[in-house]
Amino acid sequence: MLIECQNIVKRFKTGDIETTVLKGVDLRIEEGEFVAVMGSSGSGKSTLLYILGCLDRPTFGRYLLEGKDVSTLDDDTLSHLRNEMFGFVFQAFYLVPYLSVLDNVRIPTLYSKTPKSKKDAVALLEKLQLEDRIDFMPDQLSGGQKQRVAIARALINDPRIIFADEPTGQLDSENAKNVMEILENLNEEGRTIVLVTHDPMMAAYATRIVRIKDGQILSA
Amino acid sequence: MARFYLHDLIAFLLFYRGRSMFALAGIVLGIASLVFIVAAIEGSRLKADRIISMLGSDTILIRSSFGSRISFRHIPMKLTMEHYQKIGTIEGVRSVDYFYVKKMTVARGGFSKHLMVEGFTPGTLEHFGYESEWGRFFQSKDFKNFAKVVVAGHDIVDEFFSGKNPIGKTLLIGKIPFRVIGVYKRKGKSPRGTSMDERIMMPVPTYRKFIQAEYRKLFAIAVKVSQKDNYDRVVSDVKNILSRTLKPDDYFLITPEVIRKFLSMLSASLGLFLGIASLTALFVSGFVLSNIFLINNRIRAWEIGLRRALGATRRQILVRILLEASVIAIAGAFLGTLAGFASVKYILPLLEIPVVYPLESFLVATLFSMAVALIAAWSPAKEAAAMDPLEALRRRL
Repeated sequence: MLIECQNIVKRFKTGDIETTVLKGVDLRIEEGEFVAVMGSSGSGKSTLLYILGCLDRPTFGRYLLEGKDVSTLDDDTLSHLRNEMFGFVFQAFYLVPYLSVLDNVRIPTLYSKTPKSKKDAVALLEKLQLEDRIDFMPDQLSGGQKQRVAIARALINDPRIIFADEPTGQLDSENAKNVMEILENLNEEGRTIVLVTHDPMMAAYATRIVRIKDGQILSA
Repeated sequence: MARFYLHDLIAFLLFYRGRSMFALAGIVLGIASLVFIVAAIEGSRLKADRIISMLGSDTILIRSSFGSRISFRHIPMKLTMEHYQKIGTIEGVRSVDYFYVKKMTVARGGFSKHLMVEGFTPGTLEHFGYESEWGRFFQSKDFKNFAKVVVAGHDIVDEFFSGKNPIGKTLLIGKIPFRVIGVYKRKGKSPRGTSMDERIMMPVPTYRKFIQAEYRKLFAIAVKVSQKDNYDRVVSDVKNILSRTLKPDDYFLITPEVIRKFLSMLSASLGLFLGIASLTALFVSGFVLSNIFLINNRIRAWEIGLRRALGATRRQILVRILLEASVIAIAGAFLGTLAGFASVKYILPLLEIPVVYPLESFLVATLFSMAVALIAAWSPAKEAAAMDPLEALRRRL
């Protein structure tokens, strides 16, 4: 088992008000699966994704990654885990505005113990049909191109799991389809994909859909 | 990878160049003042050495005081031949020379000018390090025969002889013709900033006979001490002799110690003033830099979150921000040193301090600006490193 969540609870406190976003989530994901976590806004799907991606910690419960409880790991170990094992694709792309397309893709290599070369970044951009945009700056790209650069960045350290948070949220249908096909291909290559979306059309690309409502899994 | 790291870092500073420049400006200002202070202190030391070597480290120069009237025509010459003779009897004195100075009208052809004419005893020219370039200096026959001969500086040659060799030609000094027998090598400017090449010298007997009848009143007395160990005692004996007949304001004593003291006081007061200015500028620049980095943290919080998501550890974020501050510090040290050298070039001549470019000041500047930048950036760097990656990602402006 690659990912196993046991009774994950997540609470946020704003002033005196405490909100429980995840209410005892149990979830298992096998290596090589393409799982879509679907739910409406505020359902807790993104919170779950960020806990799975080790960007957030659960308030209660256990999160086992390859059988190892990650909630006991220190901050530096989690950073190395994110760098080596995970790739992130965000709705807002998060491309660094002062770096070229190529350099944006290379950012994760700065924090890698065995950094990939510039050639690897170029090869990824070629694979994602961005070879003619290598020296472009992010503000010179279309939304679809930006997201493909973000995918290339997520792939540079050859991660086993890709976490995608509403990756098509800011794209038109044509570009959204394109991005989903890329994720589908990556899954076919053997990578585990965890996608968060509220759009059933996008969720349809997944091999399994997990529905979440009010912080609880409805069907897995 | 190091190259990409540096490229990433510099690209950030250039992208937010407005704020980077603002942070840089304070450091440049502080460092420029610091470099200027180092140059002014070194220049003053150099000036003291030059004056002392001109005077001779074994020399005591006693000069009639100008008082409040700075005019060679009306110097109240209180030093007398009696002082000269008495000083000559002090034990430990190797030689004593005296000389006269008076401003006279010097003319040739249709051109005339008021110039300093000096009466020298035998050996005084050599004593003050004058070297002959054309012709010769005075010989004993010139002293014996009241010869109407002069030795002149290069400015005189340029003004009266169009720069051509004037040996054997005449100058009218107070309507009396004098023959030029020698021209000394260029001496440049005096410590007071006046040209030392616009002087005319003649033997003392000639001077007394044709220029100043009241020969008992002297402009200056130069004493050479036989052994350095005797120097302080001789100075004290000279003071004793002079104080019997003169008030302290009537003369002043120039010794290497007095020159060093005066110039070190000048550079110390300059250093104090600029030191305060420099430290204030560096303190303010540190404050500005710290606030700019705090603003950067707000603006780039999402980017810090992204880097954390992509695998950067807290320590790597901390180091990154301290390195950004270091790059600003090094650039500030470099530009500040250049600005300091530019101010040295244009301001030190106004203060009559020799221009020196102390290269070691770049090292001092770098250390100071690094210290300021690292202290200033420490708190923002800690803040950035402590950011929760997810919180930071959500703070995209």
